[in-house]
Amino acid sequence: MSSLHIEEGKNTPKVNWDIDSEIMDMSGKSFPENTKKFYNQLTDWLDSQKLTGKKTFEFHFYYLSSSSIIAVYQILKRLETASDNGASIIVNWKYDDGDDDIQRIGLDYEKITSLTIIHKAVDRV
Amino acid sequence: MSKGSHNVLEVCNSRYQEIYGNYNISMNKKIVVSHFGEFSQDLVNSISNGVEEAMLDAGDKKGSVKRMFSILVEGLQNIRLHGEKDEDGNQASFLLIGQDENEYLVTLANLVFNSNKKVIQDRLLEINSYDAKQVKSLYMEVLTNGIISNKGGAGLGFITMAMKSKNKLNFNMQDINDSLSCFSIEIKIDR
Repeated sequence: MSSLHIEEGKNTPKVNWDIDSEIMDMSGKSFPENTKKFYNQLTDWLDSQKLTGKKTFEFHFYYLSSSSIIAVYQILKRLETASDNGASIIVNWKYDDGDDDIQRIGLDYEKITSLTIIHKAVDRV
Repeated sequence: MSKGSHNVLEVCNSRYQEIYGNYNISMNKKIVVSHFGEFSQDLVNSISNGVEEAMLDAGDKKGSVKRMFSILVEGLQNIRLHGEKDEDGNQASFLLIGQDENEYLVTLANLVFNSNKKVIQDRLLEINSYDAKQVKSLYMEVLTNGIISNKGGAGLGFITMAMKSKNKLNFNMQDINDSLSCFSIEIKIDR
């Protein structure tokens, strides 16, 4: 399957990832009870695809549970591998203006990955 | 109900009543939430969202509201993932939130196997011994090396609670029988 589309759940985010698209989008709240079960969908999909060329992964979370923070990092590690293998990957880390928690998580990720992360405060809709 | 598990529920419930009375009477706090028994996923969501709404209505600082939401989600999911059951399959656990004009006190409790008591106690004592910078450092270490277990947790729960609370984590282990204890943890959130 060359695309992964997951609708927003009560405690899981929306995912719109299409291998042919330049922008890969993920947003919403993330506090699934079984984090592995939800995020395995994403990491399995990434593992089954060959990420090449230019890709921008956009993340805009409103809440991330502690295990979700680790799960998202595991996604970033795979993007880092793709980047090391020649893909041109940019991460847009978006957060609501004033949301220090989500902003901080993006800054923490930046310390532990070689990916290019652009931090963007957005006005609350 | 066998006599054994009648005892487990009773001991856990009397701990619940003790803390309730302590918050309500000794500390003169208003009880915002009190629940004894299992927590379904829906209940976790409705309590977290409900308390968030109530705090916003009460005019609490946005930062305190977010910290409370986070502590409730982490704490209640911890109970669901790690709370043990008595012989009748009851996952005896409870939540109490007491409030006064200065702070919220949140107590979460669940059954633990006696064989796990030391690991939990050592972890909490370790976290409590750290200053904020050291807790953050531990958090980064777990994040970098973190693995998500098959149950769904990832070992950041207590660390997150400590970071969100900005206070020490008070905890108590009450022996019940040869295999089980009632573990409770109290988190303070300044208003």
